[in-house]
Order: sequence, then C-alpha cells, then structure tokens
Amino acid sequence: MEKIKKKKKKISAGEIIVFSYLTFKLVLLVVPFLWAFFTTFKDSLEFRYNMFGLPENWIFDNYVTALTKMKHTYTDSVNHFKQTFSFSDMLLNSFTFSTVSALTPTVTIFIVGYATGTFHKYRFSKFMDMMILVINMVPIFGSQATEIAMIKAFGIRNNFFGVTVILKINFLNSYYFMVKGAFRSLKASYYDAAEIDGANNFQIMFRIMMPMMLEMFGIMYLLQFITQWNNYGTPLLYLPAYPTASYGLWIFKNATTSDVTHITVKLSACFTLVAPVIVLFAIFNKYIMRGLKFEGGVKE
Amino acid sequence: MEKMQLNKRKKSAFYKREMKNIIFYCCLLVIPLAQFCVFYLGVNARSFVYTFQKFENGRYVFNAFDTFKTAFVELTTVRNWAIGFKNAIILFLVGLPFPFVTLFVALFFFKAQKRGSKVAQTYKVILFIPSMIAPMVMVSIYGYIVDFGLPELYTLLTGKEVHGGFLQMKDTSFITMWLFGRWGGIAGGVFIYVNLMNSISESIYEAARLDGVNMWQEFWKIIFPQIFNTWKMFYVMNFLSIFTNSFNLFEFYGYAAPTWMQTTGYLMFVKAVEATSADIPVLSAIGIYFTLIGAPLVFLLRYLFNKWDPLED
Repeated sequence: MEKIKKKKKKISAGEIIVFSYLTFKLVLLVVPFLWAFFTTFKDSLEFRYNMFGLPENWIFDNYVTALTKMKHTYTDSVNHFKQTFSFSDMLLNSFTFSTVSALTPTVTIFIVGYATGTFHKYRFSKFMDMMILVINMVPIFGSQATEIAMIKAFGIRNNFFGVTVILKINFLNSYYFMVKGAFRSLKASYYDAAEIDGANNFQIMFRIMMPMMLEMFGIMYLLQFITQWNNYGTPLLYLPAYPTASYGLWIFKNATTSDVTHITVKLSACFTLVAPVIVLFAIFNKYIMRGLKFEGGVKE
Repeated sequence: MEKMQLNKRKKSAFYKREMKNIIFYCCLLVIPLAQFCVFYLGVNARSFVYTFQKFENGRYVFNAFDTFKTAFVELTTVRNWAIGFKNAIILFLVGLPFPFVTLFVALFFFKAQKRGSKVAQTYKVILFIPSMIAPMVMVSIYGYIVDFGLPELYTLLTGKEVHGGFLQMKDTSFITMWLFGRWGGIAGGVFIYVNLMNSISESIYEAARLDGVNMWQEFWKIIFPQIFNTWKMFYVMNFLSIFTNSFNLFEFYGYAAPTWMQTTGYLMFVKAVEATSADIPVLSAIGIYFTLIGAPLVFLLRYLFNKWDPLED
C-alpha cells in the first residue's frame, strides 16, 4: 500500500520578512511595557540608580500611594462646590460610567437595527440607511464648540444621566449596519410563526428575536465597555465632576504634588487602570478577536 | 356579495395589522431620532447659524458675512494655523504608504494563519492587546520611555549627556511624536484586513487553486477586489486627518503643546474646549471653510477610487 505523503507547506520568503517585522514590532511593544511594569515595584531612589534592571526590593507601596494619595479636587466656582477624588474613587466612577455608557448605545443600535432590519420594506428604513451613509461620507468640521455650548445650555454637563444616557442614545455608528444586517438575515418565518401564535410586536421582539442576538449584544457591549473604560475625552469635556480613572491619568500626568510626581507612582496608576481590561480580554478574547458575527437561528 | 364582504374583512384586518406595525416601528425610533435631531442636526444647524452672528452685549446679533471675514483673517494671519496646516499635510503625506504596507503584512499573515501556524495565532493575540489599552496608559509609558529611559540609555551607551527628553527637545519632538503613532498603532489595520480575507468564501479560494492561480494572482483578482472598499476608506480617512488629526498632542501636552508641533486638528479641539461665547461664531466659520475645502476633495477622492474599483472589472 502506498503511503500517502503529507505535502509540507513551505514558508515563503514574504512570510519570513513579515514575521521578522512583526517580531521586531512585538519586541518594541513588550519591552517598554515590561520595563514600566518592573518600575512600579521600585521606589524613587532605586529608580535613579537602577533604572533598567529588575527591582532589588520588590515593593508594592507605589500601588497603595497611587490608589490613596493621588487626588484631584474638582472645583465648581459657579455653585461654590468642591470635591476631592482619590484614584480609587475614580476607578469606581470609571466602572459606573463605563457600565451605563456602554449599555445605552448598544441598546440603541439594537433597537434601531431591529426596527430597520425587520421592517426593511418601509421607505423610512431605506431613508435611514441612506442618511447614515451620507453622514459617514460627508465630513462636517467646526461644530464641536457649538456642541459643547449646547450641552452646557441644556444642563447636561456634569449631569451623570445626561452624559451617559441622553448623549449616548446614538445609532450613527459602524455597528448599525452589522446589527441591521443580522436582524435582516433572520428568517421571516420566525416572525410569522410568532404572529400566528398571537404574539404582539413587543413579544416577538423581546422573546424571540432579541434572544437570538444575545451573543452579538454581549460582544458589542463588551467592546463598548472597554472603549468607555479607556475614554478620557467625554469625562474631561462633559463630566469633570465625576472624574474617571482615565481622565485622572491625564490630570496626574502633569501633577506637581510631591507624593505623586514620581514616575513609579504614575506607572502604578497606569497598570491599575489596565488590569481590568486585561482580565476581560483574558476571559473573553475568543469573542473579542472574532468580532461581531451573527450565527443565529435554527440550523436546517 | 359574500366574496365582497370577505375581501372587505381581509383588507380591514390587513390595515389594522399594518397600523399596529407602524405604531410599533415609530415607538422604536422616536427617541433615537429625537436625539439625532437635537444633537446632530440641531448642533450642525446652530453652528451654521453662528457663522452669520457675532456676540455683542451678552447676546448673539446678526453679522452678515463679517464673521467669515474674521475667520479668514485669522486663518491667514495667525502663525499657529500655518504651522498646523503644514504639520497636518506632512503627516498626511508620510502616512500615504502605510495602507500598502499594512495590506501586504496582512496578506502574508493571512497565508500563515490559513496554514494553521500557531505562531500567527499567538502574534494575533499579543499584537491585538494595544488596541484594548487606554490611550493615556500608552501615552504615559511612551512618554516616560522617551523622556527618561532612552536619554539615560543613550548616555550609558555613548557617554554623551542628553539635555532633556526626546519629547521636549525641538529637534527630536516631532519625529518622536510620529513614532508614537507607529508604536501604538501596531496591528489594528492588519487584523481588519485579515478578518476581511477570512470572510471570503473558502470555495472561491479552492476554485482559484484548482485553476492554478499563484499567490499574487489570487491577491489581485480575488482578495483585493473584496477588500478594496476598506482599503479605500483608510485613504479617505488619512485625507480627512488633515483637518482632524490632533497627533495625540492633547494627551501628551494638554492645552500647552509646543507651537512647532501643533496640527489643525489639535488647534480646532483646544480652541473649541476653551471657546468663549465670542469665539464660537469664528470657530464655526473656520469649520465651514474646512468643510468647503474637505468635502469636495473627499468626493473627488471617492470618485477616483470608484473609477479604479477592481470589482467593476
């Protein structure tokens, strides 16, 4: 009997060049992060004489200092209001801000996607698609100052509900087309069968259609959560009274208080901010790397 | 007669059902559309109206086209804008080859992944991580490396003193900032292309292999036409960055970025945040100028790319 030889696939020269380039980039990425991580276990004196070596005495004080002594005082001169936040307070703010700010746009996109995907024959659904395409294609500049002024005028600035809910009810997002496409791909027979059984539109949406999209919803929510966790711009502009950890890092980057000026403490704050994202990535990396794909419905 | 009554009842039931669907459809869309009307249409409309006003004695008054004149004078006489445009155009031109580089890296990465290479899978995970990390963390680590670590390393290796960090010295700050973009944005574009290449049906690749196509033919005839729209989008975004790219200056320097490094995107952002009521009309007029220049050029770019669209061959 002839042995069937397995044909070994050759590695091309192009692959060798590309992977050498990627290895070089990987080293450039990993080495500074490792350096920064080991620096967080040195005190300020050791950092001066042993900047590049491993820590001689591994100390965790920098993390404690970062969490307790890195403080920012928010002052509202109009209402004569002052509040001091430690970095641990900011981490808590980050958690609440990210949880709500991620949920609002995710729910909005799913609701709008369901409406235009399920009722795609309505002229208004086609109009919505065209409108979103045009908005993404036509660049408009210079309205940010107006936006900031209007948000202040509406009293949304420094209003937690206003910023995390009202401002985030937004479907002008690249995810819209993915979600709409996913709802459109669901068989109409699910809808028809539920209607025949006497379900109304709300029941069909929440008990039949949305449960089929739970995985996609979960992945989108996770991606939005990570984006909002890392977001420092929105708290800076609209929620300075509820500083998040990412915004706090921006403030502390230029801090001058003696306890927190040191690099070792600031880097400890950085790694404290990064830790939850790394944990989430470690648990859900299969879904995050796969991205938003819909594989729902009954297999035939 | 009975048939007519039956038809009438069927029509009535149909209209009732359609009315319920329409009411449900409207209920779903009313709040998102209201938010869109206020915070997108309303903001842009108000911004447009500001361009014909000026702030006087505590309120906005009609100013015809004088605000446009003021904005034009500012753009053409204030040195910061000239420097900002110059830097933005340099960044745009320097960024032109990168979509090609990313595409070819993605192609070979995709080939390795298809071969089942475990190295490719490991690299994919590790190189993806920076996109999950907060920009402020990346900025902080990079800032300390280039301002403290690298100068110290340079002194240790060469014995020469470096007077200040690479981000602080005028000769090195611009290139150091540009390298941050290359350092931090390692793999995002590569994985977008790889995912697109993975989404092409395997049967198409099989058919091509049976027809005896080589790797480059497969790339130009099958892969590139499918990813062309995304590739085109990177170029359009690169062009738009002339007006929007803040070059991470706000993360590194806050409101006090050195003049020689400022870009139009940074200037627009800082001026918007610090704007008083009197500044808003001028900023809105500057935005109108950018839109009048940028929008037609974007359409022209899209038109030229669409002419070249390989899918249409």
